Amino acid sequence: MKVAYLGGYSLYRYIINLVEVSSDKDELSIFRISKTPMDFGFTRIVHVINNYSQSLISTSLSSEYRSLKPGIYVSSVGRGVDKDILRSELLNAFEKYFQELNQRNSTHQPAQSPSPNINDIVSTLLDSIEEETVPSTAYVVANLLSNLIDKIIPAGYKCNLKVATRFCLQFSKKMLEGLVLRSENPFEPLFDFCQEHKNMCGEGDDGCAKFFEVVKQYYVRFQHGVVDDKDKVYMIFYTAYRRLSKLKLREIIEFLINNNGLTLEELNKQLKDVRVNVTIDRSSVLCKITNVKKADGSDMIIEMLCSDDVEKEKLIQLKLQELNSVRLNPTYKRSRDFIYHNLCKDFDKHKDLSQITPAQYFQILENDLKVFKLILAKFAPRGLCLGGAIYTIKDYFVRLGSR
Amino acid sequence: MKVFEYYDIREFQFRFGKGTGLNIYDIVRYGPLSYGPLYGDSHTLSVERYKSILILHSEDTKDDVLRLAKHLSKGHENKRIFPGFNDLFKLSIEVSTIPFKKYEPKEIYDTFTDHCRNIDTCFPLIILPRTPRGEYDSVYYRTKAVFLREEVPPQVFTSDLLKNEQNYRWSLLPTAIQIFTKMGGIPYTLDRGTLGEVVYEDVAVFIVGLSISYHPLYKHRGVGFLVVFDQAGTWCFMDSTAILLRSEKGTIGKRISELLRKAIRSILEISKKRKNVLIIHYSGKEVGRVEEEAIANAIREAEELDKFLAVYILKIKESDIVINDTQSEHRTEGTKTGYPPIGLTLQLKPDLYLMFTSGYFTTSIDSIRANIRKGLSRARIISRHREIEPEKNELKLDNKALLATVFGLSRLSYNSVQNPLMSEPLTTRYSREIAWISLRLSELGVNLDAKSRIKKVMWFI
Repeated sequence: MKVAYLGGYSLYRYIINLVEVSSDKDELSIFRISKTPMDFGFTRIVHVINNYSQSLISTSLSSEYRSLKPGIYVSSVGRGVDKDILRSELLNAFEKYFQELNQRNSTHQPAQSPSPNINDIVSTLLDSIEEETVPSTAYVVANLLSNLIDKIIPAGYKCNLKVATRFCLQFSKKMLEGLVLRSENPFEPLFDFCQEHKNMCGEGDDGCAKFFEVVKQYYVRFQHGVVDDKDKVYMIFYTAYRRLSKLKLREIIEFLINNNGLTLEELNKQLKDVRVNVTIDRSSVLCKITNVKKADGSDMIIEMLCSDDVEKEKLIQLKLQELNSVRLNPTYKRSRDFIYHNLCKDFDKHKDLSQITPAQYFQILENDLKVFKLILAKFAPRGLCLGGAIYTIKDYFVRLGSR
Repeated sequence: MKVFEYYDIREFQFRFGKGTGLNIYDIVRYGPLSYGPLYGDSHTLSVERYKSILILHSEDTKDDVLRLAKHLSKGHENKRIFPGFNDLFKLSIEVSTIPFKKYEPKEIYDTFTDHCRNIDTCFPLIILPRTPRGEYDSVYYRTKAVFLREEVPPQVFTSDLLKNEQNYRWSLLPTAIQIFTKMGGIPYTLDRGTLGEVVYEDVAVFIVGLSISYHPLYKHRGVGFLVVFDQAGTWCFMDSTAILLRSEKGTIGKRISELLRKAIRSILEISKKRKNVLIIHYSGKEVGRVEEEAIANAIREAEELDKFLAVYILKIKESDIVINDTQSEHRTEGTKTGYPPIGLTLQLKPDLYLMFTSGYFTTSIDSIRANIRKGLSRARIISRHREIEPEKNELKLDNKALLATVFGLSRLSYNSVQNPLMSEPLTTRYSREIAWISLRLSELGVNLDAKSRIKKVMWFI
């Protein structure tokens, strides 16, 4: 896009990492549930619908906003649905949800609570349901689009974290090359980085390759806006490079013995005071390694000082084969020094990829936006379709004049 | 979406003892604003009660520490860099060095008390190794907590900094300013109310920063806290409350509500004006609906007291929105960086704004500089929450004035002399420091709530 100047005033001075999302329809037909059964808050119902239904997408609104009333807003992936389909989808979703919940509980608690009546739950939800028409760019649509993307992208491409309405896709160099041709992704700095630091991109057999991998992450969040009293939906889009760590203590010790040839004495010296997270009963405890020694038999014993929940330190001992739930915590300086000296000197190299100015970043981001749309098209060839409306992500970022 | 406002640092000058200026460095010329708090009890917390600064250090840093003591006392060889603590603040405080045996908080504190007859007259400056700020159980937080348990605010100076000549000399002035502030003084404030012109006679404006932070290791423990300033950024007081999330439902909201109610009562005690305006900046992803209801409840009570003309609520948080200014005046090696002017504020929709606090600015000699060297300029999202404001605000302030409180309080810094604008306002900037030290204190069996004296100084900067 060309930059236009009017005297000292520029129409397109600022480029923001927002992309407008438009719909082929002005309005969207949507269901709103206003009452939920006892013990079922909005959040839980939304979780069940989004994660266990086949083709429904929902979001909640806790208080009135513009023309929208509070409630759970339910739409569908693709074409619109009627109440009968809605009922059957909800029944299936709750059935799957409770099955999974019971299975999970049965492994931890032998005594099971009686299963709730799914028909009653769904009936209560449907008793208060109303079909409404909202602007296709209404406030709730931003969250629905985010949940829609979450639903259509396969789990293997998602980052481990999903914070609120932010969605994250993650690709190693190899995955990225498998999805998009290099010619369609000409400005991707990860390729040059991986050429220079192959071991940080999964190639080779040294400590860097075994315990770390640098990936590209695409972050997406949909944001509602209002311009001249008209609703707008924007996609906030940014990308970053992250170093993934696989720091299981057992694998680290085995690596140090087998690859680096460390003796028990050297192992003890290197690991002393290194911080680790130990998972006990599904909760994580921070520990400091105090000693690595041989037990009476031939087993290796790792002693750690752990702070429990009431902040009393206690000493725990684990055998090497019991270390699967122990992970090195790299936030601590001592742990980072250990990594640098024993596993991988290049483990912070990915930070070089972020040391750029906004002008440089936006050059890459424009390329990333094209690539992201190509990737999205692989998983949603007919576009982002919500309740019969097709949503299009524009090809360029929002530009603003200087005043 | 549109450009809403350009807040300009030149309109937010600093007020010192004998003049005003655009840069914090001007304190060298004009001296400090006040030797004691401007609100509440100024007598017992006056800087003038201090007789000495004790530099506590390990033996291996002796030579560097002697140099630091000399510089603090007599000034740097280049007096324009730092004229010396006493010369700067017109005081006669003795600076001495005391070695301790090991980096053990209790031992450091005992060394301090062994060399100070009256701990109310000695200021501890502790030399510690640099530790990551994200390390909860570092010697830094543990040592600070041990001193604060006895209501002694310490200043930490890292041994790494002692060895870095370039950074060392430029850290002398900010360190002196921090010591002066922790002694109870007010080195400077803004020369204007952040709201601009005085709106009404006999109206005081208070800005409250409210946050909730959770324990970095045990997520069910947390702390709610607030800091209070007037509209020129003059320090008033702080308060905090411990939160246990596994306790009875609704307790968090109740605690936050109580904390805010107590602060409102304290504000009314220190306010010298007939009517007041309260602006709440709240931050942290931990602040959710329950806490917002708690704020609303406390505000309803304040409204009934008939002492507040208006209450405004702004939520401030980090964002993932970045910008490229295609006409940026800032360049490195002749190339446009794309950094925006600091203070640029965009409006996304009514009551929702993006403020850029890192970018370029024009100095007093008209040169272009930036307060960011690499990386991206990220916006702070500021949203006004009218739904929890009282229905009848008698004093109508527009969003430009309210957002100016965020910009204005981002101007005030005690840690950096060079940076004209910090990334977030004073009201929300020290969330982690306050939360972690409060949590450490509660682990030492100390309830900060019961410590009235320390809450009147800015120990957390």
